[in-house]
Amino acid sequence: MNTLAKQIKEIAKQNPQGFTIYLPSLEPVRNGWVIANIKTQNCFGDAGLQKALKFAMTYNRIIGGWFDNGNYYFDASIVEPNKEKALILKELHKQIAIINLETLEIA
Amino acid sequence: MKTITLLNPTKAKELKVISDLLRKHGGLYVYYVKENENFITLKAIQKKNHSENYLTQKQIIERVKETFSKFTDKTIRVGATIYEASPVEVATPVWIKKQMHRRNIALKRMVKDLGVAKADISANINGHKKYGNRSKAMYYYYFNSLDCQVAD
Repeated sequence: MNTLAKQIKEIAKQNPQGFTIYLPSLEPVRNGWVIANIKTQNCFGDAGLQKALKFAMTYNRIIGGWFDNGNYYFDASIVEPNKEKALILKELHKQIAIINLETLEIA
Repeated sequence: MKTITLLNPTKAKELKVISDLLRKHGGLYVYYVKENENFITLKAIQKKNHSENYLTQKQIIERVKETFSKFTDKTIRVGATIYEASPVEVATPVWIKKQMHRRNIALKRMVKDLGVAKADISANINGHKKYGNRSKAMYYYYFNSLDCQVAD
């Protein structure tokens, strides 16, 4: 897990604006609707990464991250290809908005 | 994005979340430029993003208008700038190996020509050490300069 965490930190450093990757391959997610998992909200720094990573590894093996206000934030993400199902997940995870990675459509 | 008109706190928060999503997942930065009684002008710039999904100029304009129209009754005008990859982006480890093979360039010669440690070049070529655009530019223009020398 620590090697994976180090690799994710490196990706975060190289992509401070944001990224969403599959675990453990670290390949970028390129399509589908992204929904942040409510259980990993406000995860930042090393402890936040460990929490989000642990959750993602036991859930659906997708993690996202970005840099904001001096901190690296991480969350376990859900990627759903179907918009209707994605909108249900949006409500379940109490998200204000979700985005389609390929088209950048907001819903 | 700067709050373009007086929004209630809920709407302002939604605007911030949406702007962040566009930036985080699409490298799309949206800026407020100006407004008058009828129009709001926004500037949208798509930068390099990790998922490597890039929109055309038309798609950026449509997406920004569609996304932000719910925050204003005014007509939205968008100036869009698409992402254009630098030519040096092609200088991946596979590309470097191909160039070395095609030109019959040994690692030893690259060390001498570039003045970079053998271990660093080797790690780059074998994919053991990631490198950014500065190194990519070095490799890209190095191999291109060899073409120029042949042409001379």
